[in-house]
Amino acid sequence: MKQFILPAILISEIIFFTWIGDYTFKSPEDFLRYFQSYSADLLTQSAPVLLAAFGMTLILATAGIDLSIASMIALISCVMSSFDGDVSFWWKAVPLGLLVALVLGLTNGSLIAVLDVPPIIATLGTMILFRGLCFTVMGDLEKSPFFDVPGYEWFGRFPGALLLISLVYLGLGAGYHYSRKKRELLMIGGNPIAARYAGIPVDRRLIQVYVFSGFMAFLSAVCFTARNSSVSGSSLTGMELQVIAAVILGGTRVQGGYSSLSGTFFGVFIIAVLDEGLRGAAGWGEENLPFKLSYLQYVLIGIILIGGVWMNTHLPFPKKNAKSS
Amino acid sequence: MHSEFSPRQDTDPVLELCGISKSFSGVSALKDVSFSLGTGEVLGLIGENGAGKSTLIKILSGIHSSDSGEIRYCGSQITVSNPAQGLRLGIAAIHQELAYCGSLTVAENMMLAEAWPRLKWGGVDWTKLHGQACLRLQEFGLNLDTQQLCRELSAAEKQELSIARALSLNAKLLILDEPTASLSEPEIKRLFDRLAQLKKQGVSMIYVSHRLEEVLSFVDRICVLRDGEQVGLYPVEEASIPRMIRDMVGRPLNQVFPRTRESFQGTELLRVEGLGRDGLFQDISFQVNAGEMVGLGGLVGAGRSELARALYGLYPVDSGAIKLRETILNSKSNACDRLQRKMVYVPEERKKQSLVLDHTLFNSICIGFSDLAARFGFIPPSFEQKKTEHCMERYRIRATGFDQSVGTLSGGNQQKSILARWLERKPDLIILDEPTRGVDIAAKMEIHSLMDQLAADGKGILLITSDLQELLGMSDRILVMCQGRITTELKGDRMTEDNVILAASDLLTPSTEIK
Repeated sequence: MKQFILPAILISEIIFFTWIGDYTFKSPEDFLRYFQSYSADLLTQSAPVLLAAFGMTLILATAGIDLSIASMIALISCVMSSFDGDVSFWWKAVPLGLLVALVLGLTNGSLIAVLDVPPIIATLGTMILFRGLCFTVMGDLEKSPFFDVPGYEWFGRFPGALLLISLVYLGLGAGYHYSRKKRELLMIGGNPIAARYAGIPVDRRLIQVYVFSGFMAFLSAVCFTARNSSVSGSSLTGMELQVIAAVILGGTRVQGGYSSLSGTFFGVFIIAVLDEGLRGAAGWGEENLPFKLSYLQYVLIGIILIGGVWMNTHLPFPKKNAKSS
Repeated sequence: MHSEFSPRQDTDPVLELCGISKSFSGVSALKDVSFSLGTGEVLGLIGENGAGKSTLIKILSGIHSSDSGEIRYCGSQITVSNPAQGLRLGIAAIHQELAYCGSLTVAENMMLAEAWPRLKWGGVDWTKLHGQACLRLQEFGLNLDTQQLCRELSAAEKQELSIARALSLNAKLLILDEPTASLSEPEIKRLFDRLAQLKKQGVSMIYVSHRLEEVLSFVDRICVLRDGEQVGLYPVEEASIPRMIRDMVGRPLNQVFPRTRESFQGTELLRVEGLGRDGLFQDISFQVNAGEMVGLGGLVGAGRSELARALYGLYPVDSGAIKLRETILNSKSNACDRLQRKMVYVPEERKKQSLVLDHTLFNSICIGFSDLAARFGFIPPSFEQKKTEHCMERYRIRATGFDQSVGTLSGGNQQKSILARWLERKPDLIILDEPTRGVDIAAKMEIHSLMDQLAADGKGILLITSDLQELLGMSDRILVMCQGRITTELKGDRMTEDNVILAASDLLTPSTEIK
């Protein structure tokens, strides 16, 4: 029952916004064409969040949190954007971006695992710190356009983002599901003392998780720069909340010990469809509502987040923790 | 000291207990305990670990409620439903782990439970507050700076502060749970002087301690608990250390310990030389051979579990060496490395230290051995399932299925699942810390025969247990720890209950030894 809740919410959202969006479909082909471009838009738009949320899911599984994720992605983008947008970008900016990403992840991981700073405080600090570095790198410039991932928008008949997302969620997701690491992370999140007693190298695993999240932030930054034509010091402000909200909505527990990557996947889209739909329905809103519809977005995300956490703590848990990936 | 004051218990008892019983999820912790306590009388409550002393204290101070029985206090029947109500009635419990707020001052802690003096506009009148606190401390004969933070006080001062606080609330009954456990000799003496003074003022006390000489010198009457039952209640004049010990343990060795294995000693598995860690244990040397079960006895707090954790590499040691088979373990070797070297540790508190309560049985068992089956870090999907099914059958874990969450299993099944987790690794050296605590009798027997089987298969076992019967029944050899040191090694005929108890309090000498 519970595993159908998220897809059901997503589908009803899509139906609702298509309905108020005032589209007329003359033929089934017409509808297909609309649907194809709609999903392609949605995917390219959500790709950065989806990638970041993958890493965040693992972090939340260990009972951690990473508030710095948006600043981190922005900083990586800023660093990469300071290079020329020609072919040399591939062997200059990209490796440097990756290196920066791993170092930032390592910073968070070391603060939490080695120096024993609570995750929420450590990453609140680095969130501000990384944002400061963004402005240091960029000044008040806004750079555009500098980088074009070939085939990002359309790769043959598929959006390139779809390829990357499938690779990450199916490939890495399956790998994670069958790996011993998953069991160790869940045990660390569920009961860190028991994890230590069970001979799990807790500190090393925590560092690995944050470094991995840094790597996902790098992929996310690549997607972000490929979609948006400009990067500035204040890019992506507030995105961390969207990422965390999506992961929690997906059923991963903030207290750690239980994670759901498929839930995260749906969680991201539920928020993205809401976001996109409200923007698309601005016309309908002006006619029918006394306030601007776009403001409603934050209200709804807030409600969804609280509702999601409530569901996770008050609905009975799915029994097979190990089975859901 | 008791001679200075004769109890007036015949006049009007402050406290009367009639048939107090309590059980926790089917396991009986207290059965039909009844006694009365007169004004200014001190009752010594003694018993082994797990005999029910703490449960009784918790019922009296309102942390637990009794299942049946009656508590009469100053002539009227009461039910204490929470500690605050107990305090209002005049029953104050001074627990072993003292409750105080470290970052508040002495005066604030002193006045924590009552209304503070106010200034006209509603602010706190600090001068008056400190004055009041100071006055009360002086009444009690304590000279503490009321501005001092509580965490800066010594253990003895904290103890005295909490007693003074209890008395300032007009406590008529003081319950002291191991008050001397963390005090030094002169501090103990000072505490006793104070307590004797209180006794003269008519404060009744229930005094719980493992230190039998203290009990003998201070109390008027002695109540002995064993397995939750009250087995003795007699005036101190009739008591002696041998009698108290006999009452505490005196029951026949029953058939819970199915010893089938032949005594067989293989090669040396573990050798520990001069191991020490500041404040926890010092100068520990012993060895464990293959096929041998070595018992480690002693009182709670003697440093046994700390030693086990250090052996397992959970924290570093200051001095000494651990040799596992041929290898001397260096300081880099952690628990992970110990596991690879086939040493496992089953910790004492399974809910805190072993289990994630809402994880499934499946996950909980697999975490122990799945790395052995992993190929490049990935675990074949069918493997874990088969293995878990096998475990549930082999270790007779009773559950609705392997996706039942471990928190909902009974204590015995939880413990068996932990044993399954580690034993499937085929370890050579197994450290068991209280393996049958909180486990029902059937599961206890299963675990005992499993341990017997393991030793017969040539594994080395270090058994830490506070259950004397278990210690004596299972071990080939017993080491007794007292205050961080192994004081005694008992073998063969010397392995008797009396000797273990005496050794645990460091009282075993050739003259006291009971042959």
